[in-house]
Amino acid sequence: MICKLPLSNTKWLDHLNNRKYDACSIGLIPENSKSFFQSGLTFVSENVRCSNLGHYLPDQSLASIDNTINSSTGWVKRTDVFKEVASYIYKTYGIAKDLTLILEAGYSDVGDKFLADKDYIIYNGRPFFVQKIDNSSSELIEKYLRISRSRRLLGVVINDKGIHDLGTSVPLAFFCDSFDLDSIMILERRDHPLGI
Amino acid sequence: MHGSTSVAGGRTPGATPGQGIEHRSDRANEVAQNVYKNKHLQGEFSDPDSPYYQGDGTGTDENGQPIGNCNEINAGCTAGQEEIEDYIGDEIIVIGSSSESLYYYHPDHLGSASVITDGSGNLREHIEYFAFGETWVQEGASKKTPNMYTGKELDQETGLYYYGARYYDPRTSVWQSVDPILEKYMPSGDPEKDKNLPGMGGVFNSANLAGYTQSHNNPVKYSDPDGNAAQYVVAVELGVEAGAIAGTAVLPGVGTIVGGVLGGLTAGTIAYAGTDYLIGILFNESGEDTSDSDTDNNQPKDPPDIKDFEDPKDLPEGWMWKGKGEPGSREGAYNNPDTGESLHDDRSHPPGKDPHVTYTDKDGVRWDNYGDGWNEQ
Repeated sequence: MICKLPLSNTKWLDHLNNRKYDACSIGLIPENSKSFFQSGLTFVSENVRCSNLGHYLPDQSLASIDNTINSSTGWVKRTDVFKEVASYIYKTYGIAKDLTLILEAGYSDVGDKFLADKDYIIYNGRPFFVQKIDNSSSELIEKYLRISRSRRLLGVVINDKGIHDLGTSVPLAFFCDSFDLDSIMILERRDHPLGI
Repeated sequence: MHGSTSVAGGRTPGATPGQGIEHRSDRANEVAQNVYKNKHLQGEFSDPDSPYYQGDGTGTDENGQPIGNCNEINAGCTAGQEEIEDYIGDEIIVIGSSSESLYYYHPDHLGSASVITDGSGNLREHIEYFAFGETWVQEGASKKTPNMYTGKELDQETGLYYYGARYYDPRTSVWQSVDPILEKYMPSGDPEKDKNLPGMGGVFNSANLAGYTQSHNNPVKYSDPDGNAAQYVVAVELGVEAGAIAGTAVLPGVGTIVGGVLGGLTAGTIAYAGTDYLIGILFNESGEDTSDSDTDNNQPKDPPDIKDFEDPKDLPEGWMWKGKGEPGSREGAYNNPDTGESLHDDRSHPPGKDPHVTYTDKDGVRWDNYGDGWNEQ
């Protein structure tokens, strides 16, 4: 389920600003991008009501919100909504032929063996996963979103021609983690060429 | 902010060999426009130290003269041409230039170029080999392809194939130097690690003691993709969107799990729709498909033992701390750079949230542990 971000809530705003600062510091978005973004969205599980988002913290897990924590002993698979997130990205941006998803490559550093079978670029000395969206699939985008998580998740959707201006031109969309990395929040451009 | 960039994938100094679709492309008059087609970013073309340096960045040198192709592999192309090489891992599948047709490799299960066609599907070249790689038949185009047996480049002057770690003479069927990883065949004493010694058994496989022989003297069943160690190869058939085709197995490492590779290849299939090429899938020695790295719904596959992380100075082999904070703090995680797994300690989580440890497996799926197997704080 997609909800509008409660950006009047200072906790959410602070979280978003911190992530924008992080993205700026690694050269993913320019400093002046703030005014370009018109809407903020995030994804929640079915049991969460959008109208209550302001009562939750952005670093609270989805399971703790919808009271589905299974604290039995041993490992418990975490609730997340990356399938829905990936589907949204693929359907929304895959209709254009020239859009690329760029994601900070989690905890990976240049030279890590984990990167060897992934599509990535090295930019400012850091690895970033890349996926040309229309040539990808919802499943592949979901996979790349998952492996892009570290203590945060940072990514952009850019026009292929804008790849040269990464960090200086405003991307079509910027996204970062929410709900303790169980979901993401997406900010989309005011002058979105897809008319979103 | 605009920074320096470089190419991901094999054959570039300092880069990690890639296993996904790798497209190599350089233009004399134009920098790359498409990150998927071309992973070079502009900074690389303007960096004088880069092998892709393009003078003033416009395709002309200091004197305004057009610069030829500066790809270190395909030097000597004329201005305006685009030299193209596509790889799956280290296996070449497409070669050509923008001024003429692309040529498609149709390799056999070893990756040897057997049939080469042009963009219209017309036969351009036909090559057959003896078992150990000596060329038996080569007919067709006057300009012969350089990448032949197992997809490696044949040096026409010496008659040797270059594999990266050493040269191979297909006529005499032996390597030109001894196996460079001979010492890695020795066991470490750790029973778990010693299960996966290179060359399918390390020193315990007597075939590895013959340091000059190709693929355990069985180059049909085994392959040695980089001149280091023999690996198991098996042919499979895969149906892909561009058309059902006979696939090949090229093993970067027996027993290696590469579910992600297949995902990447699926995307590549669509990107190059209409083109048949061969897809790699991994099998272990017993022929079992090891590419499915998925976990069941209840438990992660081979999670680390949390107790092994109690002392940050004595971590399990292959793991390291990555984060801003002190090792073991909430500002970071233990990470295994080979597998992508991570372990994040959230036992000191703020009030209102249950303390737990989060494990991210190699597929990026996350798992929580609320108290079993570790000392609660």
